[in-house]
Amino acid sequence: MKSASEIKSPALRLNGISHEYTVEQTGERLSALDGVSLDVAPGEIVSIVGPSGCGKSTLIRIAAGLITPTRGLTLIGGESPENARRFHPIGLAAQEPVLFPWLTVAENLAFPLGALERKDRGHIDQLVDFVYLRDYAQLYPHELSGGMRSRVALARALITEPSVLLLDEPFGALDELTSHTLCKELLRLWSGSSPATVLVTHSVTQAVFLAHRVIVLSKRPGRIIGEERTDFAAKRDDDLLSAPEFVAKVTQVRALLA
Amino acid sequence: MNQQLSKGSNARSLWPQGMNALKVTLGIVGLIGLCEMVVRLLAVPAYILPTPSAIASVLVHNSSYYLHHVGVTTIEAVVGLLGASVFGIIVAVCISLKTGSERLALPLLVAIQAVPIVALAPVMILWFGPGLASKAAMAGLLCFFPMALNTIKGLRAVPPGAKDLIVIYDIPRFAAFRTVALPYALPFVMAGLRISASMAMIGAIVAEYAGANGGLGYLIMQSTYRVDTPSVFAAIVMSAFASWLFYGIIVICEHTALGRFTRGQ
Repeated sequence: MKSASEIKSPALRLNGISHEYTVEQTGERLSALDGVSLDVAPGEIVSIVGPSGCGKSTLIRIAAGLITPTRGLTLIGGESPENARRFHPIGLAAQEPVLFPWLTVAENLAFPLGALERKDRGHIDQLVDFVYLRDYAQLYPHELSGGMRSRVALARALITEPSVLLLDEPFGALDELTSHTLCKELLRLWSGSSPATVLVTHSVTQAVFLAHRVIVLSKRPGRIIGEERTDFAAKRDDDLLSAPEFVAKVTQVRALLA
Repeated sequence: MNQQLSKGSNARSLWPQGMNALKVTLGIVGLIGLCEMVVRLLAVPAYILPTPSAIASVLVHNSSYYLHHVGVTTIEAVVGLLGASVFGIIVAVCISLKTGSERLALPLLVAIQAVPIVALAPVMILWFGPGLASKAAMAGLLCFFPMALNTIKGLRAVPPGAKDLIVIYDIPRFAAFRTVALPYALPFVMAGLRISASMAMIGAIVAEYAGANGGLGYLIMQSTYRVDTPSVFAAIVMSAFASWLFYGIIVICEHTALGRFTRGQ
């Protein structure tokens, strides 16, 4: 049976991405990524793991069109990120959730809709309920815990029903328990519109638990050195964590990283 | 439930503030009492250092006279502060919008700020005459730099993640400025206003020293010529009260009208 990425045209295509940058103090040119090619199909979650400094976050920023790569091509729905984001919003959530301190939770969630001048704000209430933030909708970000802030940032990334969702270690700053709770929350939220998702994480367990495919990058400059499919028969819940096939997959990915 | 919690936490947060205000008031009263005692015990002549009670007596007996002069200086300071705020914010916005201009403009602004601007007070009288304009110009000159520099700093305070959101959602430049950059800059602008509030009073009083027909600076100079030290101190006390009041109004505005922009930032 063919996987999602084999039968559909990619929602996100990274083709031969290489990126170099200049170190400000020394003027030295450093290569962050070297010839990374990756297709992500609609409805697919791809995790990217690799050693620190291997260019994972740079890759996410290139995919979002926030950085122009030195070489290579980024296409979202067949268009450049600059063109694509005018018509098909991109969702982005980073390790440090950026919430506007002067806006309440509900207003922060509505921010992308206001920015995109979209009138269909009816589902803000629905989303507030869906992410269990009903009691906190009128609170300000500084009144929330780290986990709740991450949850709001995640919900905001999804509120525009993006075709591509980019997550750069969205739970990296949280403790293990909160991080795992939010992983399950992410799967629940994602199942609503199922955007093509790229998740950068340093947690192999998280990568295997969430993704359909795990991509392993080498140390700098980042190259793809391995790929593992994670088509588990079991449902992705707490029981999966102790399933032998899940443990075996985590071990395989760790072996690629070693 | 949340509202109850919120009311409860408000009451709790007001309690230490009230206690602090009480402690400060008691401290000031204690200091005044100590000063009165020391001056009396050492029998310091009134033309050197009058007792606080003598200063208070001057103020009570000539209250309307002093209030008139406080009004003159305050108007000069307010006009100067408003002018400097508008001009300083416009300059800061222009500098921030033009990419790369900060590198040129910032050192220039800092260098000009280092010039002892109060030395320009006589020049202001020459240029604008002895009336309101020269005093407001002097106050404005002192306020302009903190306002402009703080606003530039504020407009640069947009975190990288927020800049990413502006790009991701393709927000037009003016909308991004209005909805993201300006709110991030507001706490810095308010800090600039707080600094400028006392600077404006200083500017107006110094300009009055250089030549005026009214105001606290004029009063201080006139009383000094007559060696009427209690009146000099009475004018100084009134200028301090006017400065505190000015500062207090800005803080109250900040906490009420702009509270949501300054909370949590």
